[in-house]
Amino acid sequence: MGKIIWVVDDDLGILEVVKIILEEQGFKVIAIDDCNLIKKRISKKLPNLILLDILMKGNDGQEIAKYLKNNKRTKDIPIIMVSADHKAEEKTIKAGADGLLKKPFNINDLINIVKKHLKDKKSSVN
Amino acid sequence: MNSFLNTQKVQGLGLKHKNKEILLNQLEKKYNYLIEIEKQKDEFLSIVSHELKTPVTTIKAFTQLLQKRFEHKGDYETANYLAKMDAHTDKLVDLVQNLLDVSRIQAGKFKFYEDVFDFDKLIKETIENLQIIAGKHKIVKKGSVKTLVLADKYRIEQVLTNLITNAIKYSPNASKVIIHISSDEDKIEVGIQDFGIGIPKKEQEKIFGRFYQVRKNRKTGFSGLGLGLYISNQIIKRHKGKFWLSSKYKQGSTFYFTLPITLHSRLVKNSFNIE
Repeated sequence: MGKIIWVVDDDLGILEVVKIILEEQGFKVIAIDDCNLIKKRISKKLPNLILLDILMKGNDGQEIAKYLKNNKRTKDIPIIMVSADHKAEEKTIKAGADGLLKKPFNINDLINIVKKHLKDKKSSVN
Repeated sequence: MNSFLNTQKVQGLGLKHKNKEILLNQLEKKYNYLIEIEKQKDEFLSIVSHELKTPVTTIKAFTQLLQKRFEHKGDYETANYLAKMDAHTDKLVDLVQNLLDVSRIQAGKFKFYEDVFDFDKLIKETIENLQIIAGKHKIVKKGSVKTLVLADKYRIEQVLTNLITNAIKYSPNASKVIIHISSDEDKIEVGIQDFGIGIPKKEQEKIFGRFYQVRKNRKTGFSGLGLGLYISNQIIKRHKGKFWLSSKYKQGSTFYFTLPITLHSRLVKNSFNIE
């Protein structure tokens, strides 16, 4: 079975296209448009990697990343921040996330960064 | 009589002093108002840029997805149209990015993120990306530096892209653009040469100014906001390099920049603000 990736973004267009692209690569993608669902979901089956938007309406991806990195169950899951924010680098470092994909991105960059972090971690969380 | 005159003088001075105070007060209010407007403008530009990038991300991703699918089916003509669509979407992104950069420069918040990278590789990748939209212009590289540099790779790529796209844009009747690369012990030197309209001597000092092209484009017929050179100049200056041009009207221009190699000796930092 393909590795599980959570894509968290409040823009439905981005969620749709990222889901298609990554599913074509054989991943199982769960699209999440509401950050609040993450805290509920982490008590269940965990993903192998999370793509997390930084600026979302009413939610701060940076805070979510910090929360996940401080949680025993989720701290080893690679988190890639995805953002058009001009302070994205700073926020990624502060959040303790593992990588950054700047919007707008090329789909090859998306695929490469996901594969790289999955390979690097060989996540044992499942 | 004297005492009357003195009283009048004192009263006159008092009045002048009061007027001065009122004027200063008005000036201060006006100054604060302008500062506030400037701040609001910067914030507005940042929000607009961010909001524009979100739908552009979706457009680009779907365009590239379609391109891949057509390539997979062997329909290379359609795939090529989509590649062009994607490249032109990048132009739109650059425009937005330039507006955002100018607002950051004005606000003194133009940040750099240094990293060590292979300069020749960056040149090669930039040429490959730009050749797609270069049309009849062949982008030719002459020389190499075979060295690593410590600089903001994204920003240096931005300078290269700006200079190469300008060279293509302002030489509509030419068929090539040459990128000259060389180095000595202290620095890397890059020259982007076009064979286009050139820049008259009296205009050469002005072209690094903000919005210069906007004021000129009605006369020249070339579109653009005129922000690219201003931003490129700022980027190179902040990297402690030099930026200049050599141009002959109706014969072409070469834009040069240098990057100090002494940057190597500096420690790589994840993030810093060069001010």
